[in-house]
Amino acid sequence: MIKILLTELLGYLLFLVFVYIEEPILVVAFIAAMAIAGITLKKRAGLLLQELEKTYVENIGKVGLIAVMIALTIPFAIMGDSYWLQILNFMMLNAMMALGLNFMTGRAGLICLGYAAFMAIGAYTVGILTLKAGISFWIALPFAGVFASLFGVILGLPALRVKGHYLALVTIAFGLIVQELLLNLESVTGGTNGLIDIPSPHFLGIDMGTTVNFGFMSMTYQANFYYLCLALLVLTTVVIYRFSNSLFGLALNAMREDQLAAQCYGLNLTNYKLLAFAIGAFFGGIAGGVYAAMINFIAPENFGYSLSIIVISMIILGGLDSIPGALVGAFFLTVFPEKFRAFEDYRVMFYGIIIVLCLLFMREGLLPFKHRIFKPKTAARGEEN
Amino acid sequence: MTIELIVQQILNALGLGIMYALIAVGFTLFFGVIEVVNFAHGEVFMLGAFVALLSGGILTSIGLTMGSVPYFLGILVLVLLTGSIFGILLERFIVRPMRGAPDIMTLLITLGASIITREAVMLFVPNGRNPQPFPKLFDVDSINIGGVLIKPETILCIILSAVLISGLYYIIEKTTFGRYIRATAQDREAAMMMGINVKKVFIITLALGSALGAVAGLMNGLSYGIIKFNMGFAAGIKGFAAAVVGGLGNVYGAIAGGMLLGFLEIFVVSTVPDGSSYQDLISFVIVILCLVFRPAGIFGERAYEKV
Amino acid sequence: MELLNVENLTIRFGGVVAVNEVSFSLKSGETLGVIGPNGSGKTTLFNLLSGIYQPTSGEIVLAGKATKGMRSDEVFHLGISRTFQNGRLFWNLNVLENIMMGMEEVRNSKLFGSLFGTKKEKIIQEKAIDRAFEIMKIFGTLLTSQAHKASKDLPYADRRRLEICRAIASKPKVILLDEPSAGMDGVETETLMNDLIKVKKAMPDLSIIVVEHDMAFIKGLVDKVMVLDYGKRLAYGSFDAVAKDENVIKAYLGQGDGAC
Repeated sequence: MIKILLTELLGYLLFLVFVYIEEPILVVAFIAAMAIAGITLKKRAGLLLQELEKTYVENIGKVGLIAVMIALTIPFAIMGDSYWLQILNFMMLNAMMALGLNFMTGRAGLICLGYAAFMAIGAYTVGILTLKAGISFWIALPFAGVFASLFGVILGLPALRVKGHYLALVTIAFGLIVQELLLNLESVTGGTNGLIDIPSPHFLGIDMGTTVNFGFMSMTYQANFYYLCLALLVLTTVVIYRFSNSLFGLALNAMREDQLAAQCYGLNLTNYKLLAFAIGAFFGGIAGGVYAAMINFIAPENFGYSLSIIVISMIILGGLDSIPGALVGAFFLTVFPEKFRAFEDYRVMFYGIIIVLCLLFMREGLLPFKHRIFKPKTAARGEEN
Repeated sequence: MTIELIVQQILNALGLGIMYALIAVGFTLFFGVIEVVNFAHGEVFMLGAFVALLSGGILTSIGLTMGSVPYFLGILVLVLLTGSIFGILLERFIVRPMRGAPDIMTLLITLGASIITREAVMLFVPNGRNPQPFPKLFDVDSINIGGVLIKPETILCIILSAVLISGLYYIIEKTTFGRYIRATAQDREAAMMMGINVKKVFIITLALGSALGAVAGLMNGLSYGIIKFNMGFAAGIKGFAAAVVGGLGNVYGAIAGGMLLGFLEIFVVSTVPDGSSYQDLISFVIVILCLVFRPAGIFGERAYEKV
Repeated sequence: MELLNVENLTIRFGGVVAVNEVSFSLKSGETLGVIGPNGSGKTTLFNLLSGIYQPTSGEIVLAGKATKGMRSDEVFHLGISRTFQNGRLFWNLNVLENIMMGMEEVRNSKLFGSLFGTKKEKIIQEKAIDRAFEIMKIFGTLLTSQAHKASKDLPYADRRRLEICRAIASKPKVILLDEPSAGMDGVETETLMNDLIKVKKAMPDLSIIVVEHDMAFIKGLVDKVMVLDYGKRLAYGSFDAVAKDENVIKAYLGQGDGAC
């Protein structure tokens, strides 16, 4: 318990140091130092790390709880820095998408290269419902998820008949079709111009688009959204975790491993594929809905192919089918590039390089998927000889 | 629609179709022989166009005059070379290390390679972010034959691709090496046991397919006069679609598939009002429909999964 | 009464008739051996029985129900489960999970239940785990001691055992074993034989159809034998009768593929 607390606090401290250092050379030195420290730790104290990992896995609930506690304090620790708050908001939205995509692609093995489309659908749902129909954000948001799920099912229909490379192509085409539709259905979506002035949500009578005052400290509106994103991310993580660690999640894994064998063992592939698509898409839709309300402006170009690729690179870096992996991948790939704003142009290339390097040298990702979710009631039974 | 216009559109469709066909041939070769779908193949198309654009300066500096035949041949050779080198590099650093990995991984790594290539061109070619005008290689205006305007570039493209495709046919069907390729495509293990250097076959297959894709890029520049760093993406998707329509692994099917897609696109653009803004949309819908209902291609038989 | 009735089963792939007018029947608890050289249609027959392929003509009736037009998951629910020639385990899942995948419980788990971790769901899960260990115990401690190992890390013989465990986990009426001894040496094959006899003892009502290309292997195991050649039924009957059958001897000697 104390081990978990201390290591998480250490991580928090390192993160804060990272946020506060500005000098690019220092940033590079910091990252290099971290990488070297990580590698030496793994070499010199591999056993210790393994033990720590075991503690983490066994007390996953506590780990999460402490992490959430820490996350609650971040806006204060970075002194309400609106720029960094916004980045962290994006990071959390990305993490939700990474979790959703990971459920489809990592857990169920259904590759999706058009995931940005689900975010787009969520964003436009919230945009249109709040802007044009005057519906409250809190009612529109679940709709964003549901509509995205609906589109997930629509995309899932061709997936019933195709797999592998073909599915990859179908999903790319799906992403492009959604984008083209957003561009061409001008009367509803605003075409190229998109939707502007999407209203901010109100929470307990407070406009979330205004400054928030904590009494001793006031922060820009990003802090409001920080807590909204955090709440939704926690919810997403819990839901995905529950689904993954159930018999349902096991069935999806089996489908990923071998569709034909899974069907011969009684899985109705149709149901499982559509469910995987619907669930995975749902969180993309929610992330998009929050995005629309936070930025107040959306256009088709925000939801292009490169966004789909960015989300894919997050789950590859983190490790396919690994929930902590998706979170860590989203964290690294959103936060690190911010320190190199001078190289903003190289950002997409950086994602490409991450994909290639990970697949060449670290196929399992940073935090590979861990087994043993099902244990017999008496732990000894597994070991009896 | 007048008869002249129809002839005009047929020529356009032919020009577009052969371009797709040349890309599709690469996809189908890679899949048939190496069993990979190379999502970076669209980028070689883009590279071909850019190399053609940039090599103009080099060729004039060694004394070739623009528009002359040696000038054009010089460009063609450079484009073919670039394509082959790209293919060889891809084989060595991307495809080969992924032997035995799950399909999904190979697919994603070629995707990563395509992003790197595309972004590199955008970043390192001067003014690469913006569309680049592609110079006219010939100082000849369109020829008017009975009311049909024929661009010399279109004719050149059609002839060039006819030559290339015949060359490919010759290599695959008549040479020893082509026999190796066909043998490897049919049964890799058996080919290996018969002493065929499968590794070499892989390298040359990728070089060959990529070279053809690069020429398609050159043709695109010639026909449309404008090129952009991200043009490989749509071209790659359509090329793959054409290969699927023709049945992945079937070279001649891929050519037919490319033609079909070209004709369909032009047909839609010229008959549907405001069709050009839906051009891509319609191709993508065709892609999905074809993948779902005829995954083995229009000529293929229903495939039974090996159990 | 016959449990499984197969009548005039035929499938064509283009011009090739892979299984040609094959008929046989099976009682509850009986074991049928299907033998024949490579390419004689044994695996295709299994694919027809398990619903992967649809027959061009002919009928399969299990416990009074025709399986025509059924997908393989529906056939599975009727009570036919199978193993695969090249071993199609869920390679990245561990031994326990592989066996659990064979169970009805996994399909009965509800989305809602798994989301909120209901008590019912927990009980289903615990029962499935317990039952999986029961099944593993057919092979003593060979599998229980490796329950949490990924199936791709198992030794070859244990993979075969795991496949059999997975196939019987659903309490099927019939299991189809597709060349369970493929790639094994004599000693391993003998062990596997004994394993199968153990399974038969543990589940006396289970009917088994086992594909082999070597007649010697199934001698002590089967109640009757069917020989396939080029998709056609060459001989069918008790082991001894088939072993003496002239057509069979001719076919095997003619191929130079010594049967025994």
